[in-house]
Amino acid sequence: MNENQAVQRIQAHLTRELGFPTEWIQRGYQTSRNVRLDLVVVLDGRVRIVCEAKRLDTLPGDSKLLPFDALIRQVQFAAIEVGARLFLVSDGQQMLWFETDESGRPLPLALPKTYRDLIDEGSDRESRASRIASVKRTLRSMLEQSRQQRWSPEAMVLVLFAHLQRRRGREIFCELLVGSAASQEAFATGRSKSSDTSDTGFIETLSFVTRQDLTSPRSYEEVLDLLEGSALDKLAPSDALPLLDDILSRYPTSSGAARLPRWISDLIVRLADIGRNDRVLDLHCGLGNLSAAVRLAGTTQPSHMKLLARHATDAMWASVQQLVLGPELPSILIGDPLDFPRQVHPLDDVFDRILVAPPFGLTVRQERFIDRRGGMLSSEEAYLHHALEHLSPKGRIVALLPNGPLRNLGRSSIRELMLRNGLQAVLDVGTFQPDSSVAASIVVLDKSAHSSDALFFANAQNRQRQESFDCTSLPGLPHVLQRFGSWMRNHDIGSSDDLGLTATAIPAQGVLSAGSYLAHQAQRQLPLSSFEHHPLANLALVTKGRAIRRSESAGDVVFIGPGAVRPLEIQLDPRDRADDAEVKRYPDAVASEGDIVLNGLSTFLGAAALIESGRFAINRHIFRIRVHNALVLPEYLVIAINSRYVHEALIAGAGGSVMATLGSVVLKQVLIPVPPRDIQAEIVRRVALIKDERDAFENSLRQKVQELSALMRNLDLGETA
Amino acid sequence: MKYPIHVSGQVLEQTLDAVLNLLGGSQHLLFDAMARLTAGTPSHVAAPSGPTEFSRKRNEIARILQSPMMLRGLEIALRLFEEVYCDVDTQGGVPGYRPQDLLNLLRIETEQPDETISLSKDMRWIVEWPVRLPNGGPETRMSCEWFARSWGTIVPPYVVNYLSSAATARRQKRNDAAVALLSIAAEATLRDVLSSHGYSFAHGASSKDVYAYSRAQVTADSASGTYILKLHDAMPLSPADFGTSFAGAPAEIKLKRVPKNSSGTRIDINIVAPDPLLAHWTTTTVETPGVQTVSGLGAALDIARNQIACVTAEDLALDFDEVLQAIRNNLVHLSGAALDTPLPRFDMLKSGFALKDFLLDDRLVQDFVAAISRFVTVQYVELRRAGTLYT
Repeated sequence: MNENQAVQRIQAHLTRELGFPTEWIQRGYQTSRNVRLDLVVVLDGRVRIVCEAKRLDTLPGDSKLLPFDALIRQVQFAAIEVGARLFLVSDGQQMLWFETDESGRPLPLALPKTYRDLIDEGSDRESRASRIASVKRTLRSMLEQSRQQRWSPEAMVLVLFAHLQRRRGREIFCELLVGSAASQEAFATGRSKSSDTSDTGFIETLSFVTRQDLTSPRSYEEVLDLLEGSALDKLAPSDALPLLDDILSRYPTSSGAARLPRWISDLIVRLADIGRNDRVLDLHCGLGNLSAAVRLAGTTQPSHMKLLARHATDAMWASVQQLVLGPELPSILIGDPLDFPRQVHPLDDVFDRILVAPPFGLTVRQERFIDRRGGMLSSEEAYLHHALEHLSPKGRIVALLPNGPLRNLGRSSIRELMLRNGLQAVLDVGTFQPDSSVAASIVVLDKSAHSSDALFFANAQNRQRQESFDCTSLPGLPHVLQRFGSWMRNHDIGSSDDLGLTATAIPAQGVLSAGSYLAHQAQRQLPLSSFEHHPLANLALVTKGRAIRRSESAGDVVFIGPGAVRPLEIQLDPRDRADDAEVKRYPDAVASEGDIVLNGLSTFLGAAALIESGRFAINRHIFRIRVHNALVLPEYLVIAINSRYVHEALIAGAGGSVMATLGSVVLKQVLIPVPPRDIQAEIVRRVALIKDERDAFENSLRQKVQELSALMRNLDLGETA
Repeated sequence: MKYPIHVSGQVLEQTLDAVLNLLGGSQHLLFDAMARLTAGTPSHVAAPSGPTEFSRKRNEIARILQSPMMLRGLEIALRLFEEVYCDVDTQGGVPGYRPQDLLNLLRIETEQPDETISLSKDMRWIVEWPVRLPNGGPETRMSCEWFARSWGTIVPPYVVNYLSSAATARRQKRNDAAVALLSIAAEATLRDVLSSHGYSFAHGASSKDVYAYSRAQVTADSASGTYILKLHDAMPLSPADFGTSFAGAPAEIKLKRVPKNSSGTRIDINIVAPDPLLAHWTTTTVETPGVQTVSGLGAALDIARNQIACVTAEDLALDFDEVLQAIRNNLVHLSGAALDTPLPRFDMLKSGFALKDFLLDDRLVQDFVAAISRFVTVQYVELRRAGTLYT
């Protein structure tokens, strides 16, 4: 009997003869000191029994010598290391049970320990934590196996899908995966007879994997066995889904679909306010997080849900999530979601709630949109059009859209589309994806809601960046949801929000991004609100610099670039030098004494400083603000712009998908509090006073540093006084 | 970085190549890790901008590793391999390999013959020596954990050296020398363990509190034939309380001469007095607090096992106590009859079992070797984890 057979015998001994549940037994357990244990029995997240397959022919014949034998002691030490008092050494035939006794030696046991013995000892209760830890280890082993055996990107989800289908009573997917020809025939026959379309594409994916994948059916069999011993299907969905998230975050997906954060999914579902018999469409289901949130909310049945997946593997990930939530699957269609109507019965294609998380920033060509710019549309707009076509007369659409089109004046068509079709609310969720700087908002369109010129705007960002299946556990969001609910019920929510998270406003020039409205509302609530306010454009001429670039050689003209402007200061970068000829090409890109320069890009975005003397060429990322209204002192204006009061409004209005940038429109419209000139002069005086003091301290500090350095050097040379 | 391990630059370079080979298409993990851990140091290796630079960067790293001491190549190599393992482990492996395969690769031979170091899953470096049973039993390895990034040295260098020498002696079948060296390692470990719990091994240390002297002036009244004792400092009870303390009666005391040194040149007076007089004549101020002292190996084992329970039977089987004591009390000093010291706990194996029987039994010596090296590591890991090892 070889070692593998001996291990199988031990496992059978444990499960069949001693009654241990399969999911408590783990094969190939690695200790922290790199010792590999053949089998362990794990309860409550702790190893309770260590089992090792060994040749026993070298053991001493005299049983009283066993506690001193190197082999037995080796296994005992490994058991002690993992915290197990019990251990079993076997060659597959003889089962030698030991327990570490009070003297520290292994005590041979006359009878094996049964499952019931452990339970009766009261030491073990299968807890939730133990089950989660066990499943986590199994998934981790799968992940490691997938790397080692170079699985295709589809393989992981196929295995999970097949396993969960088996646990829900459908064996055929497992049989297909391990390559049973009879099963493939049976499946093909079954499919041709069945009108159930939910399996569309899965068989194709299976065929693809078996054709492309180097992984042998035997490996799939092994990993399916491994999963069979886990309790994945027995875990509560809120326990199982984070484990799947963990796998997904480490495993490549062939479709490139992004994983929607759980808290965003939950927020979208809460905003959708799904009723008991509402029909729900997930228009671009991605990996299925959004539809999982619908199921977790528990208000609708899978039979009322339809999911559209662009790729078969996405559909399978979505199915895996649904199978974790229960045996019944919603209808999942695979293909281009924008082709959706062709694939379904005409009566099926209206929905009460449509959830849309479209791909961002793509251009879509569709014959259906031929009347709009030759059939070319942004993906966001195309999906919104599509959703509107399938929305019931009193339905609601909740969509996740990038912030760019909501504020970019050049992209008015999507905003007009939403305003025409019952747009009610815009909730800014910020840069919601980890490791991505793309900011987005959730928009709510409702055909049954009251018509009003004003919209509900909110800041719904997850600033702590923590993942959660319940978005109301995140700071601020319960407040936002409560006010959103009141707004949608046409209740009066007042003009101000003490937390500054929501605002209601009539969109100006069609701009729909929430940031600027929230900032305006916040400004009105600050102490300075008693002063008169003017848009910056009423106080000063705002212009922008030009495309002056650094000279390849050492240029002879210093210019102000985006790195130079700091709050109230200009720190010229010695490398910001341009050729004289280059500067002369742009005679209007010059700031001179009394002008304010403001940085429109990146780190010091919105920082402003006053030119106190001289003339400087300015780069295209620098705004020049030249005061032309006697109401305001330039020295005061520069302080006001740098204040939290104005600066936060500027930042909120900044755009740019990769790097934050400030636009002229936002800058010109920003409101500046304008107190009487004597108050302005006092503010200027006090700031100047503090600046002078700071400079004096800096000089003093520099001097002391030099003194200290000189003293140390003298000590080194032994020249102390 | 203080440890008694030396690895040649050539071996480090070979390990680097083996790791790169295992990483295959994921070699950027190693180069990124190197850039991270050398950032801001003179050995900084910038991350390559693409695979075309990998070969050049490999040579750059190899040059650093080839100078284990001058350029801190060994330290950098160990940190680099730790970082790479962390990254590989986080993503569950690299194509073709599991994280464990990388750990198996990180078994590095040192400049000592038959000595290797390896990385454990919990990021501690282990030093190992092979110890073979003469009669063809399973190969066993004696090991101890000697270094972890967060703690520095785990088992102190002086103990690692004892273990290393014991392994060599065992391979040369010198059981007596191996067992003696291991018993020294065990005693050193016990000493550190008990020190961390406040026990003292200092010679002459008192286990009782030493009180401060109170100073007094003695004068004689020849007229009345009495001596007058006048205390300089205030005592807990004053002469006014004397009547209360002794119910108005005089207090009887006894005095005698006590020689204080061996030559008898210094003689102190010993006063035996009733209790209340202590509060009248002496202060309660403690000048030197008593310390818990350990009188020997037997006492150390008793304290460790029974008083502070920092050594359990699982850490070290109880029957080894008498082996250790027999060796440390006899073998190391090698008196003629030492080997006949009886070990009654082993009488179950043979009637009248003695130390010489233990040393002649390969099975028992092998067990002792494995158990002591494990005991040493377990104790020092615990001390490092608790942060109470001050040596």
